[in-house]
Amino acid sequence: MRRVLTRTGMITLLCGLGIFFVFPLYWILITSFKLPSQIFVEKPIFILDVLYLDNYLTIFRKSSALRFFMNSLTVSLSATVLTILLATMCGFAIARYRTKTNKYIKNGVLIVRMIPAVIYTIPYYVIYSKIGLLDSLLGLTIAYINFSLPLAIWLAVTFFEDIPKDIYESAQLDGCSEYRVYLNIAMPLVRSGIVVIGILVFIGAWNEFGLASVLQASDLKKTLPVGIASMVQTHKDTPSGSLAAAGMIAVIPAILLSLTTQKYIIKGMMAGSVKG
Amino acid sequence: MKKDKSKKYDERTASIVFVSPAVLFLLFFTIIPMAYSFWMSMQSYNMAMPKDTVHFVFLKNYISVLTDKEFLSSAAWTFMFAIIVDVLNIILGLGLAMLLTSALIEKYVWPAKTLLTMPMMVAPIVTATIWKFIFSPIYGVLNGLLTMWGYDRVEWLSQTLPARIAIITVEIWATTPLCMLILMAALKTIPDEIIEASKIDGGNAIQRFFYIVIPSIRNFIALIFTLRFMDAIRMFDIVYNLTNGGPGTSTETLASTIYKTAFRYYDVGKASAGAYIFFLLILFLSFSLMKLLNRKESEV
Repeated sequence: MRRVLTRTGMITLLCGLGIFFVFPLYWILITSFKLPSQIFVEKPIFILDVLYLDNYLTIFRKSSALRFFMNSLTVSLSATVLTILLATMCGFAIARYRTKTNKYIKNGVLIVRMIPAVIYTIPYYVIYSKIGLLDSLLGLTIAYINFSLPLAIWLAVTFFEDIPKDIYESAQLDGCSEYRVYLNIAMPLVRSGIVVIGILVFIGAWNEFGLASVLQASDLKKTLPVGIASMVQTHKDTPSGSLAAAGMIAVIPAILLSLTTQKYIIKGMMAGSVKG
Repeated sequence: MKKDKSKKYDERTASIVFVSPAVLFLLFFTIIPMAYSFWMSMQSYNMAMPKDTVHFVFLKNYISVLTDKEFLSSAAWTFMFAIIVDVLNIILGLGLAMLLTSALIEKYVWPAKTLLTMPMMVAPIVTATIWKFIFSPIYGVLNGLLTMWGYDRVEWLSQTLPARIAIITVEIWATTPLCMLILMAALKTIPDEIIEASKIDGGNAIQRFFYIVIPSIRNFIALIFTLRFMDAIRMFDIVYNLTNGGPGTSTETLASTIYKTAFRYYDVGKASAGAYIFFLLILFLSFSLMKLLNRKESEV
């Protein structure tokens, strides 16, 4: 009897907390399918019998949502690929060759990692406006690589350090050059680590708002978060339904990633946490 | 012998080849902007004014930031926010993790975990948009529910206390799932034998919680505390998009104050000084927390 009571109590508690965490997403989902007359009501409507698709059509027809989406995808993917390349090379060297310089680099990376994004935003804006990189996808990509590189290098070092030393030694005895050791031996061994880095970099770039809102001024070059923010600011022209639809489009890739790659994300978070 | 020497040489070159792309990249795009920012922080530099008005003022910007009431009150709120969020993150995250690892409701664990972790990866701008719908004064679902149940409407985003509660709620919503996942992993590290042994010894659930569970996972709790604190004091996107620092400047955080000084008032000199102070603060806090964490670990 007591067992049943505890069990019911636990399920009730779980449901209560579950509603808090799930309801907001449910709400944006159904808002994106509502008619304006269903949104602006004082008694909220929780269940829809007809799905109204115009909100989605409107944002693709009237605003540049598709362009924003493609810009976000371009910037996030290129930043991810380039960061992985730079970070694994650097991380491999730091883990494998314990020179004094590499130790300094490792500690330097640790400090650079703590620089808050807002401190970069100002010089990037001023410098980019002088060298003509303002409002360009290239400039934003460079900035994102720079944001994610310190964490990525740090993670790469921890992953490469897990590889037993004798693997390298036997490869050397077989006459492998250092470059082949990196490419053909070390990289395949840290595959899951690379996935971790990739996910964190991609999500970071995909979701970033502060810097992009300063650098990307024209509709042609905005990313999805900046596009949504400007829709919010000109709220009169963008009905809530379309805003919700735009939000859904930004959420879907992130939710898919978080559902399919949860264990990698936890691994990354735990490995990335600094323990001195 | 000779072969050994050439091997050393090979490794040296390889090391340089592997390291230099990333190092050069960071040098160009981190060190130079940071140095430039440091230079700007000592200039009277306003982007809205003609170029020839820029001049050296040494520490004047730093003094003006440190004596600026708005900056100081935003710092106080940022710290209060970070600590409240951090504590709630740990309490809620641990509660959820314990529910989800309990054997009693095993059937429901997978769907519950999947649903509960969804907020984790939502872009902050979308999070702000969603909650703006929820908190909106007349057509918002929260006020709709309150009036349906016979309570008065609350002006969630235009009064100081409700706006602060709103911001904390949203941050809790967005960040607790990650804490929950880490703590679930932590709880799995406690050996079953210890729990069983305490059951045989007649310990009740509350004793088990305080004398076995908490001590076993304290490193994980310390880890989450640090991670979340360092993250929460950088709070920007949600505040900027949900309340925009309002009402007045009551929910303005350090990051949003610096951002606005630079891009609304164009005072990049003062903003850079503020940013540098912010960075030093973060460095100091990170190293103190790390020291604390390491000490705790060596005690175990």
